Amino acid sequence: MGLLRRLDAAARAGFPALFTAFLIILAAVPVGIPGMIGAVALPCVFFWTIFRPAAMPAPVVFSLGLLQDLLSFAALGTGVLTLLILHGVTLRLRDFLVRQPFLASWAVFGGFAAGAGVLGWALQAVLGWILPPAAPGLHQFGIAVGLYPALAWVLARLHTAMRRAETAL
Amino acid sequence: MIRLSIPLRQALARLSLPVLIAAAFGIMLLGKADAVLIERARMALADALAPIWGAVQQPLSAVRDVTREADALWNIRAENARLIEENDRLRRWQATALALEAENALLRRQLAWVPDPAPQFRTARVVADAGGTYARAVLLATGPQHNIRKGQIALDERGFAGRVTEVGSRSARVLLATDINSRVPVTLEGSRARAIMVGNNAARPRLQHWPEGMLPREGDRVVTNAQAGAFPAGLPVGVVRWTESGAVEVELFAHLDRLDVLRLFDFGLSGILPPESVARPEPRGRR
Repeated sequence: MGLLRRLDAAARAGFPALFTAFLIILAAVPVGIPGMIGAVALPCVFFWTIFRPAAMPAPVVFSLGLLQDLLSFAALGTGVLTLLILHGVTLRLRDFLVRQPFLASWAVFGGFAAGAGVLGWALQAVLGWILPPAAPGLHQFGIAVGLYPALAWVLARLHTAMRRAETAL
Repeated sequence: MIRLSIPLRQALARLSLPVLIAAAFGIMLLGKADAVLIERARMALADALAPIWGAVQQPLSAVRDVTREADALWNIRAENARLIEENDRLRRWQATALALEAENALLRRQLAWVPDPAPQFRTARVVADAGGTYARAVLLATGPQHNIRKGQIALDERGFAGRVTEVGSRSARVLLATDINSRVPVTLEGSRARAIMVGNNAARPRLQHWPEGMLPREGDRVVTNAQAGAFPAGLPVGVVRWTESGAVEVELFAHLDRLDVLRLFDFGLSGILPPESVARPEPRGRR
């Protein structure tokens, strides 16, 4: 294999993780909507776990969660655990999810995002030892579910482009 | 790269998720046990990313300026009518203020009054949201040479916004007054009653612990209180608003949902010390 081709393959393998990290960093730019950082990582991890699990292994999910927690100044570990559990459950259901049409996978993602919201709220309550209000969790759920179609559209384009490049080799 | 046999590699892949979930719990414990280390890691990351966020901020604020401009053009007639009315009202207030200023100067001369020194401040640009889902905070890009300390007070152009809680080498984090962990001692200007303004992650913080028999009145001005030595007295905070359910909230003067630039004031106060500077109590010897 030539150097260029190996570089190309490495770029394809690293792209999902880097793109997600880039989105998380970009989500911290203030646009007047709080809770964007937590909402951006969920659709990306869900999508890449279904369609490109080799490029989104558990250690990568762990690092993305850590990045998210450090950037959002949230209680450390909450994002890591939420993303890892999302990744694990999605991977377990992957054979089923990969064959679903878009609307069905969106609905499943909605369920997972609700679960992530509840888990995040519970972890916040345990780690901070105060009962946090439910509204920010709902807010994050809404943003994640609303972002999914737009993100999935872009990511599906990128995924088909990558697959086309792979079959052309 | 080390070559592993396929079954071993599969076993490792299957093991990695439970191990990493355990590591996530470990990180949670670490975050609770060593807050200083985590804070240093966070500020190092924020320092590294602050220039990137600063660069992204430029086109974004340009877009925001354009929409704001379009909004202003759209509302120009209504705004003009409102401004004419307000100008008339302010002109009357200006006459009162001038009279009061002259009287104040006269009285100060008679009392040999020592004026407060003007506080030092520096401005910094808000580059990132540092709050996440359950907190309200912003990150400021401060530039490499700054003398920002924890506990300095941040005001936007209208009023009190928050306090500096973490300082890095080129960035600083400001916990906003709306955060659920924010507690600000305030004075109600109408009655001089003291109260505590408690953040609840919503746009308007609650008012609590006012003295018995002194109900805060709707529209009363709220200013900071020098109790506990964390804030100077008299910084403008907001006005009292009663909700329909009978709770007392403070409508902040500062526009915390669209902060561009914050002024950081150094009042030389150290009422509430950062945790690492609090000395551990000496173990008591046996007598």
